[in-house]
Amino acid sequence: MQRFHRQHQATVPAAASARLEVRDLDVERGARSLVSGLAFDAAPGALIQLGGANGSGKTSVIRTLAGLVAPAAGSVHWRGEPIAGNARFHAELAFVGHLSGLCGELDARENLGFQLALARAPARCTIDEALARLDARRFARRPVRQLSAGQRQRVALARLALFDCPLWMLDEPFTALDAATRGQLESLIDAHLDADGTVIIATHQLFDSRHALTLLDLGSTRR
Amino acid sequence: MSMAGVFAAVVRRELRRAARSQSEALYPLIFFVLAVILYPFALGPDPALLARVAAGVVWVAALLAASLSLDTLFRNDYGDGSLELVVLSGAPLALVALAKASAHWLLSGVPILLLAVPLALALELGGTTLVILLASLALGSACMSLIGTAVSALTVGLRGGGMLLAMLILPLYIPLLIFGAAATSNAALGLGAAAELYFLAGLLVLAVTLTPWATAAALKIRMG
Repeated sequence: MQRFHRQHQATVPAAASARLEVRDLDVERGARSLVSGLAFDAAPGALIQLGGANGSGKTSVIRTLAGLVAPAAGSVHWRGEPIAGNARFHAELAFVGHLSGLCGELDARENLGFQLALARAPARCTIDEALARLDARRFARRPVRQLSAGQRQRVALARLALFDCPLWMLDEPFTALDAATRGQLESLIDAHLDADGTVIIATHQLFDSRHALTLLDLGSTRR
Repeated sequence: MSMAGVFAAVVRRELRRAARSQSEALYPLIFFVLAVILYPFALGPDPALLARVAAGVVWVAALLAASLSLDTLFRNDYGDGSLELVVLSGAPLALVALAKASAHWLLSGVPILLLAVPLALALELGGTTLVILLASLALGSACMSLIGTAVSALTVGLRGGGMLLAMLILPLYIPLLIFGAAATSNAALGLGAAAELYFLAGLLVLAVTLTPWATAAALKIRMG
């Protein structure tokens, strides 16, 4: 089932500046050091998996890469600029965390409409089209509170189809998805990589991709 | 993304959410009414005494009700992850904070103002004094929403955040209480209340100018 290609991504000259550069990154949680000296480049078209056992710090690392948490040491640059307070980074990053980011009282449309109103990122389709890409239109009018975990995750992932963001960061995106939706997400990721997008996935699960995968095993960099 | 669009989207979302989970918005208001009603039982039905304490009673009850309703202001957004999406969206956080405070005032301050009218009348407080009470409460409740939003952002996600919030916020409300109660007691004595109202208006201007930035900074810290 699994098709890992553990090779480094060939550099793509076109839009080469859309690059995430991570240097000497130390991530701590509380006083505990999770990862130290993490360094990699994510070029356009790169698929990077942050792997490792439970508790190895995948979520903390991806939250640091997204700029939600300040690193203990080291730097993250997007297009050559530090990500802190970087408007362009905010406009070009689509983040799906392990929390859905959806308000339970509102329905899928209202939630995505709210995200759209706040986003610096441009939309590339309508909300209905984005929901249709994840087969989420059937339950788009029900309050998110009433949806199952898998349905909620589909609505959360519709954000990827809605916004035109070159950089995706996904934290355990396959959680609670059924086989069909899992396939849809995999093809969404492939299409994004085809279009020279960058995908960083924090997951311990195996998944299919036509593209070369760089696996960063956090378990092995742990101290 | 436009500035007005962000503000409107946040306010619309808060109002919509309140309309769908009414208990969250209603409980603090019921608490406000009950807290005011308790005093006549404790103090006895003497109209002169009630008229003298009415303004203070309404003010204290309004403070407590506001601090109750602030507890949930960011808690749901923090719990379901929408707060981190707001931070990541790149929308100006101070503007989001101002919109949150405005929505809180609409959902808590305005109903308290409306409820204060029959409650004050029942406590034998009426006429010009009632008008001054409402004016001071209008300015004061807007300040409460703004200051409360900042403290609420600071305590979101902490264990026992609700109690901590009340302990942090009630001392900050003391200046509002002093000027609000003084304005009303001056009016009851037939004195001018303009000075106190100006002070409250000044505090409101200060709160509008400063607290959205404090809220934005607090939210960023709480993401970590």
